[in-house]
Amino acid sequence: MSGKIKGRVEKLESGLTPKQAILMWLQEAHAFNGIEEYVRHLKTQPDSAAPLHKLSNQVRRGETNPEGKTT
Amino acid sequence: MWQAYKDLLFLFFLHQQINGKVVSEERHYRSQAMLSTNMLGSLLRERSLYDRIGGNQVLHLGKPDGIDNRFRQRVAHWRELAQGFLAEIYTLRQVIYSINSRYFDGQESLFPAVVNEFDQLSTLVEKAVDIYSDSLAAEPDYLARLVVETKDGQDEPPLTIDPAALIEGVEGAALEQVAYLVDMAKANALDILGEPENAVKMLERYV
Repeated sequence: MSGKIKGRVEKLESGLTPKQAILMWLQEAHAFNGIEEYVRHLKTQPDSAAPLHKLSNQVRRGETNPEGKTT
Repeated sequence: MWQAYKDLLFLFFLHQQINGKVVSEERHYRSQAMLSTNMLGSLLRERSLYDRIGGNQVLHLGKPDGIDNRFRQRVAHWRELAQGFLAEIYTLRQVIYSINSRYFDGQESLFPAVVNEFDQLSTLVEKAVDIYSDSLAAEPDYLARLVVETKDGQDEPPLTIDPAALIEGVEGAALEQVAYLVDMAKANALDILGEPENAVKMLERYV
């Protein structure tokens, strides 16, 4: 994914409600067959990709920017 | 903001709770399923043998101490085991469904491998019950006579399994299990947000 597109996706993913963020994360996590595969994948990623870190950021942006994506 | 974090953590831990529960129970149920299918296999072999020698008076067939009466007791025992086991599987299925629809907008909360293994287990058990219902639950004539001769005014329990009645019966147990998982997830969220006292309070009723 190019830097420009990645930036756009990140922008879209910001400003989510807790449920929206979790539902989006479920899709991402369940692309892996099981928890073991998912954890193995996470180990290869930067700390910022850790679920709670990423989800908290997405929700924080939503709380500070209530005009963000809500659907 | 605090509430948003709480909600987020709650959903995250609820996902962990339900996946953890299904994985651990699936392992437990799988060993029970293997055991009960082995037992069923041996009952079916015996049934086939008794059908062949059904009229042999040497075996005291039709008498309370006859070999067919003991066989009926073993069939009834299998039925009890299978019924309890099936009820637990239906409860877990209901728990998964309730959590998915109530907290995840109907989206699957289990990892694909977990769904797959649970489905396989459910199919295995339901197939075993189908085989039982077709081959053992319908009593042969000489066993039906035996029941009349020995019941002394008391009804023998039927040997049939009614899955629809079992499904209806698990509603309460499923609600309790959902409540427990939800409280555990809330307690996890409170604990991580620095409210361990509230987390403990949340779980007090389970201690």
